[in-house]
Parts: sequence; structure tokens; C-alpha cells
Amino acid sequence: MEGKPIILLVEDDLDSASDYKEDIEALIDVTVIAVAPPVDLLDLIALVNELNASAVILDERLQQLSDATYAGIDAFGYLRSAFPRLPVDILTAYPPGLELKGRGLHVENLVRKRDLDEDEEFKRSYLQELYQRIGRYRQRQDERHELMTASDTVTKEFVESLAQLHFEADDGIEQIIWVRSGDEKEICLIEVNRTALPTESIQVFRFAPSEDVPFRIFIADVRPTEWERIQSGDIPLPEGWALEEAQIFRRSEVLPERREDVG
Amino acid sequence: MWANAYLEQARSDWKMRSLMEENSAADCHCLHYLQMATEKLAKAALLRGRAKPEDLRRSHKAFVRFLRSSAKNPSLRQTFGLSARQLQESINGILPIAAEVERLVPGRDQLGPNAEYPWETPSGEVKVPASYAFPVAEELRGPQGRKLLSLISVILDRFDTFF
Repeated sequence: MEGKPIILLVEDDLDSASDYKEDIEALIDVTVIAVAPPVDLLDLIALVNELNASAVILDERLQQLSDATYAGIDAFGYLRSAFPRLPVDILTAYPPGLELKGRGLHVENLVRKRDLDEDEEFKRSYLQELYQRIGRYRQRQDERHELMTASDTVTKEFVESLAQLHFEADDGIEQIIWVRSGDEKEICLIEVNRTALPTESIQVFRFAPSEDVPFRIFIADVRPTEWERIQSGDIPLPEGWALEEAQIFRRSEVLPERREDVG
Repeated sequence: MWANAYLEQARSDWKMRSLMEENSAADCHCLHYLQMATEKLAKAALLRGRAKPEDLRRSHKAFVRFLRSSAKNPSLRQTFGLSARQLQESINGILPIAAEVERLVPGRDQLGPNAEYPWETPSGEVKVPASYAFPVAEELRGPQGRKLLSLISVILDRFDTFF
């Protein structure tokens, strides 16, 4: 990631946001962009993407002066899932209550406004620590997997790259089986996912070719026990699919450990 | 051919759902058409995946599975400008409501609230869909529900781009 890191400060009180922006930029080499909370959480994700933000600071109570459909803790959980490892902290005027702790929020992600406003030493050390987390996040972002550019026909390397993307997207996928259908313009995958819904059969969804994946994709999600039954012939494969030349991509082999938690 | 037929019917069911909403029909009718539209939409996608129509007649359940797979759809990701993980996360948030919509079908394993037939509660009370306050109807008006409805609308409109 190039350029100065951007911290997205989501605060419904824009006056105090402006004060925090000034304070933060005076102490660490970042650009703080203060915004009122978007109405929907999906818009917040889009904003983080759009600005390529390297950290997010959320006010705990986002709904006092805005139309946001969520509180800071809701946004925290959502951002954590959508951007694993993205530094996200919550600014609060209150001591951390049980509700926040019960929702997986660690004390180090909670910043008391009073400490930040009144304790210079705390402010300096908190911001230095945040700056280090930002540095680590940006380094991981640089190592993040991008889908490789496709060639005219399906190659093993491209399917492996696609498999990597799917592993990163869904933690429940244990292995991905690339089934050769004989057509070089399509990719047939069986994804063994411990969170798949049981169907006792193979249901295949087809996705149309797109700009970055210019091939038809056929995907069947199965549970590990169903995969065993497929291998023993108990559950039949779709017509034209055969396991003889199938290639298996396992999470542990395709997704090196350092990438496991990078979104 | 079958996929297009299911898609056409799904779009028609979806239009009926909108008409019901606009005319303030009882929730059960809006939900009934929503359930039918989503089931046929999912089955249209399965038929594009070369499923046989006879295999799809055995169960009404396809929509939740369809949504879960959709997070991996490259064209859909591109449309929303989200990464695979972000689309997955977004879809995960709407799955509980989608599952409730899927459960609205009456059947052997569904003796409780459904959008079509009266049912008896464990305490012996008989409930009528037309006057029943379906919790899912309220959830569909909330942020996650609206997101689900928008997603269905986008997919129905641009099905051929995605599947």
C-alpha cells in the first residue's frame, strides 16, 4: 500500500471529530478522514474500500446525531469480519460495559474519550501503538492474494488462484476439488465446507463468465461427510463429472498460514 | 430452456409480491409470493448448473443454499464492488431472514406458521395466515431485510449476467 495511511473516523458529532482529526494528525503521520456514519453497514464497507483506509475509529454511539442503522459495536463486528486484521477501535465516553465485552470486544480496542482528551501520555502511547498496527496491516495487505489474470483456457494455476480466493472468503471450506469436465472453458468445483447445508445430493450452481473469471464456473457445496459418500460412489456426481483426474486443493496447502486471516 | 421458464415464473411471482405490497394486502400474501419467487429463482440457477427439473421437485429448499453460493459469484462481486470475503459477510447477515422465508412453505415438516394454511399452536389455538403477525414480515422492513430484497431484485433483473 502506497501513500500516507488513512484513518477513517466515523463519528456522528462532526465537531468533536474535527478535534480528534487535528490531534491524531499532529502526533502520527496519517490522514484522518472524518465522516458521519453511513446509514447502512454495507455503505461503511464500501467507504473503507473506496478510501483504502488502513484503520477505522468508531464512536460508540453513532445514532445520536445520525440516521445510522447500527451502533459502533455493530460496525465493529461487521468490519472485523469483512476486513480481518484491519485495526478498528471504538471511542467511548463510558467505562466498557458487559454488553461490549460479551460481543468479543477486547479492552485494547476500546478507547476512553476522557483519556484521549485529558491524558497526553496516554494519547501519545495509544496513537503510536495504533500506528504500529496500521503498519502491520498494510504489510499484510501487500501480501494479500489477488486473483491471477486468466489465459484463454483454464489452467491449474488459475484454478488454484480461484481456490485461494474462495478459501479466504469462507473459513468453513476445508478442501476444493477441481473436477475435469473436458471443457477448457469451464471450471467445475466441489467445495467441501463444514458449514454447508446437508442435501444428501450434489446441487450445482453455475456462474456466468465475468471480466476476471472469463470461464463458466460450476460449484457444488458439500459437507465433509457427503464428500466421503461421493468418493465411495454413494452420492452420484453430476453427469460428465469424474473424479479420476480430479485435483484436490487443501486449505493448509493453498493458503499459507500467514494468509489465513487476511481478507 | 427449463432455467428460463423458472426464471420467468420467478419474475412474475416477484411482480405479484410488489403488487400485494402496494395494495396493502395481508402479510401472508406478500410473503407467499416472496417465498415462491425466491424458490424459483434459486431453482433457475440450479437448472443453469445442469440440474434436472425432476430432481428439483422433491424439495422447496434451495434459496438459502443459492444465497450462500452466490458470494463466490465473480459478476455479483463486481457489481457490488466487494471482495469475496465482504460479499460472503454481507450475505451471511441476511441468511437468517432468507431461512425464515424458506420456512414459510407448508408441508409435512412444517406444521407451524406458514403463509398458506391455518395451523394449530402447541397450546391448541388455531392461527390463520391472513391475520397472523409474521415476525419475518417485520424483519423484511428492517435493514437486513431490505438488503435481502434489494439483492433479490438485482439478481432477478440481471440474472443472465450472473448465472
